[in-house]
Amino acid sequence: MTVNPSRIEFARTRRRWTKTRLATELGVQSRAIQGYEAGEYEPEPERLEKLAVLLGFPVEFFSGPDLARISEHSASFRSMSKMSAALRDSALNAGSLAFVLNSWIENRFKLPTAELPDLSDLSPEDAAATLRRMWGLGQAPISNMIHLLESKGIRVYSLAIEAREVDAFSVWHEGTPFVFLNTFKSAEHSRFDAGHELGHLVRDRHSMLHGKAHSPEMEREANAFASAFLMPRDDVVARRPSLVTVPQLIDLKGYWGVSLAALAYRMNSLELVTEWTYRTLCIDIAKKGYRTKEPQPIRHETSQVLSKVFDALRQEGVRKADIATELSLTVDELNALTFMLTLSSVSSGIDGEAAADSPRRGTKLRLV
Amino acid sequence: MESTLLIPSPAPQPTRIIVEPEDVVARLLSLNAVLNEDMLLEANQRGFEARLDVTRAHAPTAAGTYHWHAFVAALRLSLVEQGWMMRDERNCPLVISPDRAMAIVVMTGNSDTGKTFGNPTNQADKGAVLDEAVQRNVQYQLFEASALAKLRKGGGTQLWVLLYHVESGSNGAKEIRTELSLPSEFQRKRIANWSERIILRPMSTEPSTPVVAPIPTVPFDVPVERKTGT
Repeated sequence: MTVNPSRIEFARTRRRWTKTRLATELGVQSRAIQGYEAGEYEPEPERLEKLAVLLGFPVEFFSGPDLARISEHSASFRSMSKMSAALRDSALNAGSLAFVLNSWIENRFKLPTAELPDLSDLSPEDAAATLRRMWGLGQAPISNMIHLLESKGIRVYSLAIEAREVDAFSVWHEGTPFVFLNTFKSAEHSRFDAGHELGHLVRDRHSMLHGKAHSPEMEREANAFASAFLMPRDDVVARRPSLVTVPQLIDLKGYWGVSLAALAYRMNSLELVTEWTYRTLCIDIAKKGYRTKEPQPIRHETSQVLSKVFDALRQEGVRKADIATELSLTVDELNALTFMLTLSSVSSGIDGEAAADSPRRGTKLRLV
Repeated sequence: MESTLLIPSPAPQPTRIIVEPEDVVARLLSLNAVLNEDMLLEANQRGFEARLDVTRAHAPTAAGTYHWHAFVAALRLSLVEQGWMMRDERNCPLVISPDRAMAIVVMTGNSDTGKTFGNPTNQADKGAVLDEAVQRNVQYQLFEASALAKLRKGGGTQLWVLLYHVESGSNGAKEIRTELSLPSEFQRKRIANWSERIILRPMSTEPSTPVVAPIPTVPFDVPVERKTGT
């Protein structure tokens, strides 16, 4: 078995381990890790086995071909500025593994192909309204952002990264748009992230395809897009309570499936509240701890594509472990990418009843 | 007729009631350039929000006092930001316009508050400060408006009462009524008459549109088709 040195480096950065840490845990000199990763020499079989266990990859993983890597500029991260390079690379490597799983799935299943318009010449507000019109969504709240994105040919996978800084990212891979959502965020937060990434995909396609760095302005505009897409202007205006208070907004936020803070922000940006009221709302929201813990939380969304795929495979007698073995990945790794959906799940494809009764998925995930 | 002193009439003056939205705007503006209905109502809203913090564990009177305290603070902060002054006259919290022509005090009113017909008065007994202020108000009413303007330069301050009342409706929603009024008679610890009442629009705590069950759009179906022979 020939070891692919790039996969050692890939596995290590996926786990956010430094060379020094890997060397220490493996009981070798730091220089040795450098040597493995540069392909100067291969680790001995026993050493490779230990390394595989430490990094949580099957030994077979290390002999595969080079993986498609996502360059830092072609992916759009929310709050990139606050993120360390190690955290970013770990998330990007999760994305690369999702490509592997996705092509395995697409070899066996026909999925919708992407049909995204280029709305880069429109303001975030106009682009959101235009996209709603093109997709026939009217002013209605979006029942499920992940299902909407998937029905438009966007592949949606999950990240299970227990880090505040990682919200979501999106990237184009071989003509297909991918969105990655961190399941450690609240359901409301994730819906907003999905809207934010959708904003990048329809408005920043050019710079994403050409590896241009994301400017803070692009991030602000993607937020404005998400806000306008989830909370259409006219509907928000029509539903403004006569008295804008935190309890009123808590009643209202579930209607659009957004966070309390996002709704207050939207009302302020539409000038439906005075600056004074907005300031009071912000203080109140922070004081009651609603910024970190969403009141009256909604249920987490999951992928419809993946649950349909897994349901079909289960009927053919294919277990998740079988897929993992075929891809030289661990089941944990697959779970982290697939919203913790299991092959034994009984949920129906379309936002099933069964899913409603199951506890929130993904919350018990450990950092992998 | 410039500075004619009127002879006080024994009969009570009819109360001037201002209720039409555009009249309210105009009258508030003529009293002071920074006075407007939205600002006064928003201060009241701050009070109402404070009321919402009350639980069953609080004392029975907490809701009312929280409302009043927050209302007073919000009103005074907002006006002080625009050049008004705060003064506490024997524990009575006032806010006074820069030209000292008017002072405002916040009070809870009875259920007639904010209604065109009826006899609104303060809910709780008031004492000497209000009594003296009303006396002073009456004095100045004895003069023609033009004379009053001159007199004010000498330091006459009219005391206006920002009266509010929270009424519970049958469906649990509450209506909050507010008026800015000038008392003219004080008897047995209550305001017995007003020379002018500016009635602000009522606020309702009911949502403007009933909220529909969460997430009502049709579900999106994503076609996933098994390829054969793989």
